Amino acid sequence: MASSSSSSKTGLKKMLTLKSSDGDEFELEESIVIQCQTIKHMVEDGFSLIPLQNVDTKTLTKIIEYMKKHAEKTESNKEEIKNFNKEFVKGSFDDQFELVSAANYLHINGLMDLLCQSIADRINNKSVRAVREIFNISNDYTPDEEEKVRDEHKWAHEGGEFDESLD
Amino acid sequence: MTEARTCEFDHNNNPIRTTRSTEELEDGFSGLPFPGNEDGLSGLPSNGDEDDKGGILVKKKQRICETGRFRDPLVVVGSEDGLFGLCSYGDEVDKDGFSDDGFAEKVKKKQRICETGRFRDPLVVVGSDILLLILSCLDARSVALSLLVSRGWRAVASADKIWSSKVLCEELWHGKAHLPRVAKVDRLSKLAAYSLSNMDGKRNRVTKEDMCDHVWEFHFTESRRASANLKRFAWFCILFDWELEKETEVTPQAAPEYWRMLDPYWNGTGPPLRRYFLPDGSQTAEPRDEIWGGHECCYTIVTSLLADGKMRKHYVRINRWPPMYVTRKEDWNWEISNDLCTYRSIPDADKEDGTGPLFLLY
Repeated sequence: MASSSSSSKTGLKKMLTLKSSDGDEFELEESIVIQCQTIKHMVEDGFSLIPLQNVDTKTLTKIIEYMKKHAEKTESNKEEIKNFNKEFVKGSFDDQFELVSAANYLHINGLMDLLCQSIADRINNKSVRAVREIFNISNDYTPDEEEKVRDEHKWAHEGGEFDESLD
Repeated sequence: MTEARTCEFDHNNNPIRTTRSTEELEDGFSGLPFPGNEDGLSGLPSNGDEDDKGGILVKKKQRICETGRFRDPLVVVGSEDGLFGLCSYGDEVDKDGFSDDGFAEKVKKKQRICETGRFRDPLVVVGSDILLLILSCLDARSVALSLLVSRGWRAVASADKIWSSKVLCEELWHGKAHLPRVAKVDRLSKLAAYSLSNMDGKRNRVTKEDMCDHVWEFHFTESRRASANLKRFAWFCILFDWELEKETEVTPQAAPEYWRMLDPYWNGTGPPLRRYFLPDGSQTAEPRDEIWGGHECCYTIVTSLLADGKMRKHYVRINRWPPMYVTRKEDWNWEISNDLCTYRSIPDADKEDGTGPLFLLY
């Protein structure tokens, strides 16, 4: 609502500036940026320079790449977007965690869903040992407690192979 | 938990105290055994401004280390909650967050620690709110496995949000013939309901509760092997109530043709016959049941267990007739059958309180 009123004021495509935590500025069309709920609310409050102190340049670049692509979304390029998404989520867990934190902070729901699903796909069916090793998590259960939890959910540990790989 | 903690920060009017408490808790993480964290932190290049902050951070870390104990993981997890809880409440951050340099600094620090190149616990890096969203995308078995990763993960992975909002329970229950009473108990967590349902669904031991809770469809069995003489002999034994010594050898292979002709299951004159098992150990039928005959009927469930709890033998016996063996179907349906007849439990998943025993049996 507010975005339409502000663009009608100028009659031009309204530009917004996003500033990363490293101080880099990115100028973008408002129509692209409002996919992000946090920024949309700020635009509605009349901001045009938007500092994002929780998002560094590297992450912000990726997120802008995502928003630009998804702003082009139409009925006809579904396949293209799908391939883009597939490429987008390639990367280390660390990269994905940074992106997911930023997407959560910026409230970009589509990106949130995409990232959570892709991270989950990589964890799915991994053995407990593998998950601990991948993320350097130390086991803080006592043997008794661990046995108890395992016993309560026996079904999950029976039958079928687990993925022991560490990638 | 998250919201409560966030409120604690928000309603605290003293910003210094707020910052400190966040920092202290954050240090708690570094106190956890993540090898390389300390180096990662102090070895980072930083400008003057950050040095200052870094100095505070290191001092605090030392103080916590001196106390010589790890922090309660719940507090540690909670702090992350609080910190990222702030991030996830856009409105508050819009108004105050941008001006709070200390807060932004810490986020930056956290991010730089992540860049040391090894993966770190997502619970620490992205916080429990986001981990919850990630775990919600896993299949049920993987979520249940993740309970064992650490205590912190269990706190997240056992959330009702995962187990109910993702309708895993409904997925598990979807299309099932019976839902276990044990999982329908009030105020049971969704995770417990899921686990109990899943384990009860695999139970092959039929109980009196199952027999009595369900209505059973009855029909005679079709001949599988033509051994007329043997059949005749076996029926002879049954009708005169003779004890069959070698059950397996002389058990009839099917119900006689003329009985099957009376059975609506076979002659198509109506719905399958129904049988009811009563808690007093008797069995009854519908009033107009042509096969029933009106005689007294009693049933027993025979279970012999081995020392390790495994079942050696398990069958249902009606009168002195040949034992009927129990099978459990994929949709949690029961089937009790011998060569003469088959009983199938009629689906009753709509029963509010569930069916079957109130305790988990293996």
